[in-house]
Amino acid sequence: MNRFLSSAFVILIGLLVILVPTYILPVCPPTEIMANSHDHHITYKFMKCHWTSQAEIGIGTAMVVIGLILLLIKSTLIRLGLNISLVVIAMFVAAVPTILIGVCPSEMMACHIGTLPALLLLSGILFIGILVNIFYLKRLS
Amino acid sequence: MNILEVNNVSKNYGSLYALADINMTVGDGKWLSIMGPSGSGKSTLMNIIGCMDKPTSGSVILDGQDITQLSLTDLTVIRRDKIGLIFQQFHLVPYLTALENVMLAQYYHSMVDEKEALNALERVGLHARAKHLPRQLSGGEQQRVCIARALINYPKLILADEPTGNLDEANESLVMNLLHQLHQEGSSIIVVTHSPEVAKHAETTVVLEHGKIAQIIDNLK
Amino acid sequence: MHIMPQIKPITIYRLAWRNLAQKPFRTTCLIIMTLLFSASLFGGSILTKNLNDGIAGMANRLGADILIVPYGYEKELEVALLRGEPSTFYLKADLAQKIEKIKGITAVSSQLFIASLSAGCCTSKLQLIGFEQSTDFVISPWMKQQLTARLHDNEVVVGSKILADVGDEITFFNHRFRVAAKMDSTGMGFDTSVFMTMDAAYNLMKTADLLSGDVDHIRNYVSSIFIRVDHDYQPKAIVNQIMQKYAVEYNLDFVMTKVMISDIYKWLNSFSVIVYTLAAIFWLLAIVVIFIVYSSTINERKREVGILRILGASRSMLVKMLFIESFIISVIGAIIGIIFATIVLCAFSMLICQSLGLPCINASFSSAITYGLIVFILTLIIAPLASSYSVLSITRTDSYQAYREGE
Repeated sequence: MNRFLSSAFVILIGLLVILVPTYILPVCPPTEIMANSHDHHITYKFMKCHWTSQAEIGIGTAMVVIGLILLLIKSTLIRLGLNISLVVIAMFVAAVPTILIGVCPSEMMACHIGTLPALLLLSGILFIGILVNIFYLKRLS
Repeated sequence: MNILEVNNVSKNYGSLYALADINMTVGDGKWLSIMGPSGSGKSTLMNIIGCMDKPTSGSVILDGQDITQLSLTDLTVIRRDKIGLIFQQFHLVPYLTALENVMLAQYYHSMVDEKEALNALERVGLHARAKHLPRQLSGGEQQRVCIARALINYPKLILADEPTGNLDEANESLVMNLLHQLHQEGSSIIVVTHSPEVAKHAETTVVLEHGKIAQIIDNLK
Repeated sequence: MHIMPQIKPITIYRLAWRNLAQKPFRTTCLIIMTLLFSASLFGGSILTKNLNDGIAGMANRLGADILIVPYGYEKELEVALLRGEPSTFYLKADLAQKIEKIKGITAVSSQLFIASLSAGCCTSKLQLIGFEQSTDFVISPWMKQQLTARLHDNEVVVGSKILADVGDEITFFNHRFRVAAKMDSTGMGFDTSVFMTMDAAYNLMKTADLLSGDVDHIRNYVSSIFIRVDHDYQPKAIVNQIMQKYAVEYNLDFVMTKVMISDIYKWLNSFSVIVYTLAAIFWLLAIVVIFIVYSSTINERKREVGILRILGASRSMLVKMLFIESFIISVIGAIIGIIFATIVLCAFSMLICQSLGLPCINASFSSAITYGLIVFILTLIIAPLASSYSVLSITRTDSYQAYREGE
């Protein structure tokens, strides 16, 4: 993959990692809005998957930034290093909704049947794409 | 023994004569030039000798076999078994490396022998460039690959059509030197050219004009 | 010492492959064309099969012929049945005893539907269903293997997708229940429903203050009455009888399960027509595009083939080489397309079924293989068929002409 293509790939996946849990296949919305009668504060009750989506926003942002750096930097070795870091990040994309935070366990919940498989898919695609790129960069260097 | 005998060969396209009553012979191990301006019929003659076309009348005896009676399929067999072709346009397969281009000729001929193909490239001084694609080679290098390909199957006759037409002087002398080497090793060579300089390398030059033999020059004298 | 990398021997396959690899953009486009077909046909037909199996399974095991609901609630019942979207509605209960006497009716059983509040973190609303175990013929077929004893008032049976196991405790409206049994997977709304005795359901409603108005006579209400009709009688005729006698008094609506299911089948039919039409369009499109791409390169290829011809390749060798080339495009397109469709289906089949609102059963491995093979073969045909005209005309001209045209 050439520089433009690999960077566009990382940025695209990064954007999807941000957008999937928030807009495309959103996680479950906050369940209860309890109006506290004393001071009229509204309390939201968030499910697990909400925190997963927050974490994925962070991970996706990191990917977009790395993607932009990949676009700007020509050095093969630096690019190789950034790609290796992306391997770990790809694992995080999958680990957050499964091990680290998780999503709602019920098979009827939007986050379980929509967001989770989409994130796993994105993680897999990123992983394969990055491996190909690392292989390519290693041959270059 | 003659490697090639051309007897009363004519070729016409409708009423237009490309070749009229050509007679010539090439002895075994000889080097002949066919020279003439464009439109003189030298390409037509080259195609007939190279088993890529048939004459309208007359006969062509190649290595003792009358090739004018053969079908196109049989001509394909004769061509790959007896003739090594070198073209002005190089005609290398663009998606194969230099080595593979040479091996391709082996493949269609008999068996692929990578070592032999590498030796052939070494002979033309391109051993180091064996893994390059044609577009990564210069014109002279491409032509040398063509020569390696032409001689890989030990042809009875090497037929070169304007072999230096697309080359600069340095490469031209390189290519001509290679042909000289082959000639010294006993190969029969026919070079078709419009250049008197190139034609001079041969023992004999046949000059074609308007489809007829205008002159036969003995270059050794 | 200079070490030459290993060079693979030249074969017809290798020549074809090298030619494709040389033009990655063109090759990728052609593969995408074939992939569109294989992915859409495989994905579409497997999805259709899943829906079909789901509906057939439901039709087979749903023992009721007629469902009676309050007027205007037939959609709510269908939705509750099909995808378990919770709702609550009421009907006077004494109707059940009255219609029992109608000739042709073999079984009558009432159910009470309660939509629960979300019970804790990460759970959505559930459909709670009170049912009469003595007369029931709707729920039992799904859980016979799992429940032998009579259900107590503090026990529930849960659908297959409810996250609780037998023996667990589960809380609704501050009432704790013990999970006595878990049902088979139904592919319907039952998977996300919780079943309890009628008494427990009434009790729940009363204490949870779910009904406004006639709270004291809560036991006089049910949500729906499921009716089974003798084979010799037309459900339609029975519905007419009930209509005439009780429709005004009770304000009724009817769901005929046969009609409901045949409506779903009709929808599924048009869905599959769309899927197969789309696949057919992709098939033709792929053939047309590949035909055009190949035709437009005939002259360029003639030159290339001319070189091979001059080197001594026979026509049949060249035809073979060119067909292998298009064959490789088809094979790659078929494999990638099927894998792609499989991944998308595996990942999102539940999401698709839920958003379609239809029961779904995942296709068995063997039927997936069968579909895969059919799609594979249909995809294999594409490129060789589309390129056959070009292949024949590229190799038709003799080597001399090809050589001349190259000059």
